[in-house]
Amino acid sequence: MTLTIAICFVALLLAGVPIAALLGITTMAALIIHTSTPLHIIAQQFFNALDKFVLLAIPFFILAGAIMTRGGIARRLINFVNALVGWFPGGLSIAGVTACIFFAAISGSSPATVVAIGSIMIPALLKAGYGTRFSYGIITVSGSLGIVIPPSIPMILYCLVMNESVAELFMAGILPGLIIGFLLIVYAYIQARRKGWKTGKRPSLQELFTSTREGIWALLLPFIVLGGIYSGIFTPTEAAAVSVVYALLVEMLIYREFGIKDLPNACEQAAILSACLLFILSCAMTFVWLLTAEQIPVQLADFIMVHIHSPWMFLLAINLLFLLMGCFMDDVSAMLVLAPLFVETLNRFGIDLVHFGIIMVLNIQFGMLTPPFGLNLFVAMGITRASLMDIAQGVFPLLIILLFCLLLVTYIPAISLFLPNLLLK
Amino acid sequence: MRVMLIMARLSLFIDQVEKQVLVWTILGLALIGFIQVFCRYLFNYSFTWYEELSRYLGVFVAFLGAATGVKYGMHFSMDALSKKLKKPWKNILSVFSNLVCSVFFGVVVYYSWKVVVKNWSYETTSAAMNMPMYLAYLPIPVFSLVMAVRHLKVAAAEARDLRK
Repeated sequence: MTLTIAICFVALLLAGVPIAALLGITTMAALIIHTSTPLHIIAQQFFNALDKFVLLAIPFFILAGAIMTRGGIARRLINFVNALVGWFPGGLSIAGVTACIFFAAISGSSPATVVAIGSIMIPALLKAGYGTRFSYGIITVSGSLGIVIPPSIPMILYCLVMNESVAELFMAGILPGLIIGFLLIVYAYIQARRKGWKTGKRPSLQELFTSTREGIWALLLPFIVLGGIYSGIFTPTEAAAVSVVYALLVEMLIYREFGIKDLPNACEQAAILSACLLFILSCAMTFVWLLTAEQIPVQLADFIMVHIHSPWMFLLAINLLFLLMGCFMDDVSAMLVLAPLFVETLNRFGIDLVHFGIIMVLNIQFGMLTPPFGLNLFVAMGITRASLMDIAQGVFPLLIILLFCLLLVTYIPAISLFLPNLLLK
Repeated sequence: MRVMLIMARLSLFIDQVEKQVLVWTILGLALIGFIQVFCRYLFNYSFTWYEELSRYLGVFVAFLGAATGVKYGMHFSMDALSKKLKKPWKNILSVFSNLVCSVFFGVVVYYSWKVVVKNWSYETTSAAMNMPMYLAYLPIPVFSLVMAVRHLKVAAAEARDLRK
């Protein structure tokens, strides 16, 4: 059985079969060859996987991101942040990172954050005389915070396959996200100091006030979404619905940069993308159902326990495995398949599933910044028209910071678990 | 010639319908969700049917969008190998993978249709809305069929390219 699954999986992966169909086909092949289970169970599993209320949060957050990227929210956010920190040494780049942190707190996707902030910030950085590679790198990497700082689409997906609480995982992502953001700011500051890039002038109180007043609608959204979830006013799905409607209202009624006619075109790509994600999820959960029914996670745990004796080693192995997997498939799909496989092992090692979720998300973040599936790199290429090589070279030095944070978060569970334990338990 | 023109028009029309239905279903659900949060706090009234409706429409959105995704080639796949291959092998691999997908979705159509028929004959209905359950399952066979056809079309196009 395990052999059939492995062969089928690898062969179809190499043949370029879409991941979603691949998971379905592997499940079907294993059922036909090794069991007499009637195949309509697959249709039933597809349905059961999608028949969940939390799941709607994914298209909602993706659509909200698309609307805010097209409209004026991102620009006003940048103006505000720039007035706030733009006059420090390296100020404009620090403003770029900070804007990404803010946007990450209203959007759940990292490419959306790169597009929203990068398409304004990268040209501005280049114009202000910052280094080309540095400008590409810092924004592309900061944009990846979109999935670490809540809301986050990979986190919702993780919670769906692992049966964890979305609210808890969101909470756990805040500190790691802020630590990464802080280190990126420190890096930007040191670079700007060393290279002597010019600094902007200090804004007057009047300017600060104007940019705050204009940006207030964007600044309120993180508090509405996260505040709403944690005060129990609404569920994560409802929070996502509220952020879509809020974004629409602000763009159409207050900033007036968006008409109802622009909507289908602005949302089409995002809508299809979110549906494709849901479809992968549904196939992955069908696959996971098969694995669990066959007790494969238990067998895997038995096998791992023989060879690896400490949770410390196990987590290191997991991180290496994901870095490796990132070369063959996108990390979100890898997580959907692999994370449920390790549930039994994680339980035996006593590793918290929320903590593990954050490790997964940081691995996905890393995968989004490295070829061949680095979505952020491609998005950055799209908005700057630079070559993949230029972007990748800009991103490379910052990957060291990310690796450092990954190790930090992996081995100090408190970074992820401190806030959820403090506020939710 | 005339038939071709009508076919082209029809396919354009289908593209539009797919796009509008997909986007407006999601936006509509978001809007109802927003209103429901307000109603719950202002009037202490919540829609009992909202959660159920959005779950079933979630199934619909996933399958409709997945079918649209096949048309635009938006599904994630590992194309590192197929990109490196030279002309005939590249096409052969693509024909193969699309045929496999097409067969898979074909099988899904057959078995999910059986599930639909079963629900229809037992007249099962949903808990909150009393909606017939076969409607909730219907998107699975319908859009699986669309995906099977679309994968077949891609395979045919690649095969034609092979002969050139």
